[in-house]
Amino acid sequence: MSKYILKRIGYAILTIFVLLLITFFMMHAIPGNPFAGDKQLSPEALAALNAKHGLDKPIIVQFFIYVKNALHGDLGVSVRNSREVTTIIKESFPYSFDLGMRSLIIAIVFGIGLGAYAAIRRGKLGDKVSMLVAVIGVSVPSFIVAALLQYFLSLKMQQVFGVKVFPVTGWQGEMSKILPAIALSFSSMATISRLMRTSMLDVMGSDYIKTAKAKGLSQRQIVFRHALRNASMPVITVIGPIAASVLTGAFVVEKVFSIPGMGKFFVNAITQNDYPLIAGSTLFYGIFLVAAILIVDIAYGLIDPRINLAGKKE
Amino acid sequence: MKLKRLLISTLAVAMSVSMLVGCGSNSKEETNAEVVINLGTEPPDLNSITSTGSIDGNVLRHCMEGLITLDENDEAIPGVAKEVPTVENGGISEDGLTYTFKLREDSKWSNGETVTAKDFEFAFTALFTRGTAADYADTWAPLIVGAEDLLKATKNITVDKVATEAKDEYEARGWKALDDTTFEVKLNAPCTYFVPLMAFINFYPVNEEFYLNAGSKYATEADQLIYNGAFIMTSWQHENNLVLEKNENYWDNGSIKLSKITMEMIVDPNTIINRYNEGTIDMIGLNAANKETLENAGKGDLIAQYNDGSNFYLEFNTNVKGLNNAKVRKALTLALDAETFVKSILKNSSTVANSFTPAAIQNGEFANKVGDLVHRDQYDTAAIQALLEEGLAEENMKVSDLDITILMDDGDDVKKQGAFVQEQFKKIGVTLNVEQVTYQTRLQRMSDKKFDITFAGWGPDYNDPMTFMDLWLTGAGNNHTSWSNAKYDELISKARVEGDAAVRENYLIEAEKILAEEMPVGYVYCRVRDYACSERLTGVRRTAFQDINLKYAEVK
Repeated sequence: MSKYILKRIGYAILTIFVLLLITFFMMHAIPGNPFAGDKQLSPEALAALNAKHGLDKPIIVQFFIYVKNALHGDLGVSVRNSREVTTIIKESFPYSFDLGMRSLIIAIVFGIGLGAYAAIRRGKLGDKVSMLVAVIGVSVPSFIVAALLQYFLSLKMQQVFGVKVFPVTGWQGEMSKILPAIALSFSSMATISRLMRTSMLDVMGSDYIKTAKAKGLSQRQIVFRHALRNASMPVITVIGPIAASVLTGAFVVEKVFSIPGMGKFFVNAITQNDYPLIAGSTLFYGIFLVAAILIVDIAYGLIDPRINLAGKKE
Repeated sequence: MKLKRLLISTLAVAMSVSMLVGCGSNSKEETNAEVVINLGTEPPDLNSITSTGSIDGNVLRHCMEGLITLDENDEAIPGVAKEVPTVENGGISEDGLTYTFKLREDSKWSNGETVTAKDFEFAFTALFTRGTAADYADTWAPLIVGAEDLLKATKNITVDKVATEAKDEYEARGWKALDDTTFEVKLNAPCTYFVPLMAFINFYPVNEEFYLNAGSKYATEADQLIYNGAFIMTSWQHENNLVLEKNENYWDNGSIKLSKITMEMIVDPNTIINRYNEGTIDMIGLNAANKETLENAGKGDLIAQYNDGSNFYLEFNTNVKGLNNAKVRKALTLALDAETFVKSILKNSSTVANSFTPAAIQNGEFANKVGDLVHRDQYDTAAIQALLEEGLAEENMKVSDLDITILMDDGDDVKKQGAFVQEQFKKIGVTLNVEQVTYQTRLQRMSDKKFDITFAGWGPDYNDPMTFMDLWLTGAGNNHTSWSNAKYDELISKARVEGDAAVRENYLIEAEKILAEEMPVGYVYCRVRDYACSERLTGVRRTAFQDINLKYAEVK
């Protein structure tokens, strides 16, 4: 097992390196430069800015300098505001992580619950309603969900009932964290519930469940003691990438609720040609994603005794 | 006995009176004088030397102060300087080339030190050191003696090394602290707008010791700056908000009524209006949709406007076949119904532009003298079409030969604008294609002159028509039209060195006339922005050169 983990970590490092290389060259291929604005800079001023940020060197040299510094924990300085990229990430990540974690828990709990319920009530109204909710969750863009929640549950509730339950923006105090977390959880919850339903149906139709029924176990016992656990397996595989995506920042939800998370950097850094921030945020996300997938794979191997990750012949 | 009683009663009266007075001032202090406004986005650069943006200015204007500040008419009043220099008080030499600023002695930095002339000298030196990489160094350098030379000599040299590694150029600089309270600047030529220019953020004082100690961290956090203005920045949560609190050591702190200003950085327009309706924000900018929402909710009286000084125009590439003809350009400009554009597309209070320099400059005095150079009312569709055909005939072209594309940014709002222009040109038989590209791509294409027409705009750097007029000099960096007119260049060059304000103004008026005759750029509109304040906030000042100024604002 440990050999397996080491091998996986080795591949992970290689993946990250290739990711960084591709990102580096792609970002320098985007038209424009970080200093371009409506007002033209003189060639001397532009040269001075490029020199100040180390952008006057050939790209391959810049890449190796970047990698060397990154190994020492120095991800460079944002071209836009001269702050250290590591500081920017360190300050904004906790907000995204907190938001992501809450939404992930909501998505997992309600996703699994909704999916299982739909499977048990298969063909009946309960199933149809649950899956309708799931389809809506997957189809409706997050900015609409976020905007609707903010408008109706936050603002309107205050105006109509005179009581301030949820503040319109911010990330201070438990109440301000609920609406953003729900808004972010919607599409993941929908994905998880649909996957769970399929998996659950598969499990419910299997022989050992028939045996359990024959043994005389109640529906409740069957579901909670046997079916749920086994049906959750495929869902766990999917949670890895979902977690990575959600925990590193949600651009839209953070924008609507004015939460100072990481999400905006992924988008804004590119439109602003802020090379160190593009590279830094991509690197961060890459590491997160690779780690999340690795953890999920290991967890999978540990939970399901049938799976032999190392592929050894028995 | 009697005396003792007299003394006791006098004392008793005095004590009661002072108690009453104390009560009065206490209740004033207990009034909530804290406001929250929306700054809009994170300020990109709070280093006054390298910054150019209005967002940065909106923050720094409250917590820093230059030699000069601006009053409600954007005119110069004393800041750190004791008085506005004039020829009469000896602050400006007879030949208009030497400016002497006498500083007040009670302007203090937030670390306790006094602001001295050396702080201004250092700021200027850092500005004109190429290693600092200040965006606007080249805009200001031609004005001041020795600035351009110092820039040339300091490639890759930072300000801490200037005195040693660019010794000659440094010694020859035209800005010097003659003593702690006297700052002298020598100009290359008379500059009629130099005094109000000293209110611009690049000329704010910078404490050398603090700046060098902070190093690369300077201005990246609230505690990496020191302040000499009406407020002090006490907290800066990046991408979230920043807090300014009243500076008790500010020399004019008696005039400052607000105790705290929180500047939020909310980007989403729906969120902005929701916060406003929630009652948790005192001032927001309004886009067309939010303005309509507020008006429909009966809150129209809380909406205000200000002229932000910028103008927007079609920029023609005069190297393109057909667009090389002035009549064609004029016809296309007239074809765009600017008034409908403002009413139906922008849906705000912007005004139609009939000359280049907007009315925000010098309170409209210049624009009034220039007058209407477009005469839109004299042209109906038939007349515009005739003008177009006439111009094209001069180039041996027919209307159907004109194949042009307008280059625009991406985004839905911009799409509507492009569609509008397309429809307007169709009315005179011109087929216009609309190409939407990313912002960076558009800038690149404009720089490479790979476009036919584009929609561009310009905001003033200082309160003088020159900030607009020098755009169209032959080969100027922001002149993407490839238009070149020797007479225009000559008028601008003469105006640049002319000390007599009236003569200078005439040169610039003549230049406006040439620009209108040739129309390398087609005037569309001058922007007026809408904003809303809560009922409790008054005294907000918003002008072209003080985009947000809450210095004298108060809470009802």
